[in-house]
Amino acid sequence: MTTSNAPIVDARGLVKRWGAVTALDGVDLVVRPGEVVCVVGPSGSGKSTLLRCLNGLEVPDEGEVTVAGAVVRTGAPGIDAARARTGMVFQSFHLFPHLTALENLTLAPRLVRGVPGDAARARAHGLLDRVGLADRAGARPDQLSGGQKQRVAIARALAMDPEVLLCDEPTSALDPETVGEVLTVLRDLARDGMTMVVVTHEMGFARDVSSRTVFMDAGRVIEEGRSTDVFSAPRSPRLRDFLARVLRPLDTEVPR
Amino acid sequence: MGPRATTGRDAVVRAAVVAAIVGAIVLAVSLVPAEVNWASAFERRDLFTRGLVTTAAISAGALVVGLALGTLAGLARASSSVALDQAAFTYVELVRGTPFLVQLYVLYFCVARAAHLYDAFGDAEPVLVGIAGLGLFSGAYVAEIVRAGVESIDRGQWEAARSLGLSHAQTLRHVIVPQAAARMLPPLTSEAVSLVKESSLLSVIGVGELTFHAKNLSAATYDSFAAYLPLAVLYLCVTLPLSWLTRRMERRLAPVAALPVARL
Repeated sequence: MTTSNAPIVDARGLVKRWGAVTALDGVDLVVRPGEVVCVVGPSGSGKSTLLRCLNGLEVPDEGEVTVAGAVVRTGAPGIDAARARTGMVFQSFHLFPHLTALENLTLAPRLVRGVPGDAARARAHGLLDRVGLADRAGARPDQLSGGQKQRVAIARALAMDPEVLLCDEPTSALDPETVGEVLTVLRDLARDGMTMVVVTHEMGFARDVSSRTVFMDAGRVIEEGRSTDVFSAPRSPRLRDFLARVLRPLDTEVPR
Repeated sequence: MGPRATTGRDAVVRAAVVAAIVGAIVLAVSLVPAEVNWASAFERRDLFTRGLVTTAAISAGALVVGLALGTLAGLARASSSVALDQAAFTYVELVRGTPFLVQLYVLYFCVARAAHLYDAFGDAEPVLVGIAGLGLFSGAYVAEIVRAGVESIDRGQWEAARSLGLSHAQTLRHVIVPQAAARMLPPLTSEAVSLVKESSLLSVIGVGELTFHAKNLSAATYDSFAAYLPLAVLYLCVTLPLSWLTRRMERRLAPVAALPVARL
């Protein structure tokens, strides 16, 4: 863990184009140790693309990302080590279906860090306990509910002791009744000091758990600030409009 | 793949249809005006036995070569190296773009001759060239099965593994291939069936397999029926169980897809 207040994530001038569409249009993002940053905004605003640039799953056309001081460059020799320092939680979990929950957690520490099997398993049991799934260590992903899968996926990311946890709409694929268990796990992680960047549509989580909220639209950061401020006193008309639609959907006019 | 028999009545209908088709074939053969000398063919049944053993042995050998080559080439096509991908692609296209018979001629009458393989291997030369040729041919198709299997795995599996810091090779070995292997098994068995059938072409370079002996028998007895009809039956004895195995595996892997066609 970084002890100084140097940024863990430092993204500068990110530009990403898909043909004629500009997904990211000059985005900066700095995340310091212990910060929980939520990225919100309408679909297609570039939130997920931004997150995926942070561990090199997308390669920005312009700009540069450093994580814990090391440049993230896809295809370069150091990319695997850089990715091992950034945990990623996906909307659709992407657990390894041929492995048990426990093996999902031990695979990367054993292969990437060379952790001995016993030590990896002991630590994995501890992490499964932390996400409330101590009794499901031997279950295969297809035997788990959506919420359980996502909690295993979070534990899998934590097994690599990442400097920062990146969550890409972690509750968007879940049944409503299992959203809470995943958000609670993420909140507890935040309280324990985990540095996180969370792309989410859960405005309650953003407002109550995150220290900072970034609002994106059309590939740009429109507004960012302390989450309490952003939600209680949005400055830009676009954020006010977005929040109105999301928080009070029944007041929204049907577009003609 | 046909739908699975669900009721006893379906099974009876299926059995009756098979019996009718086989009966029609037997009837057609019995109506042939020429005298078919089954007895003389039966006397030389050891020719068929020897041929069958050779066909099985050569097919097994070629299958091992084909699986090894095909797995290497298939993984090369899925590798992060452009050069390996292109090398494997070229191999696959060269093999799939030419008839197996022509490949066999080139291997046996050009390559083996130029390399003086006969001096090294003597009478085993045709068999060795046959196994190598059949393995080389089959490997191209195995490569495509392996590539398709690897590509059938959700992109999210790659992203999850690479996000955890696994390298491309580690991801292939520990995440992608274990999942793809199960999906590759049915088409690989089907490829084994093709391979057994293609092995009949080795008769043209003098490999003493099943078709080779049947041809000799036909030439010696002037009785094509007694030589070639048992030949077809013997191939079916090998290929039908393998096809059955393929269908069983497909059903187990995809229980939903194996539901009967809705007859509305």
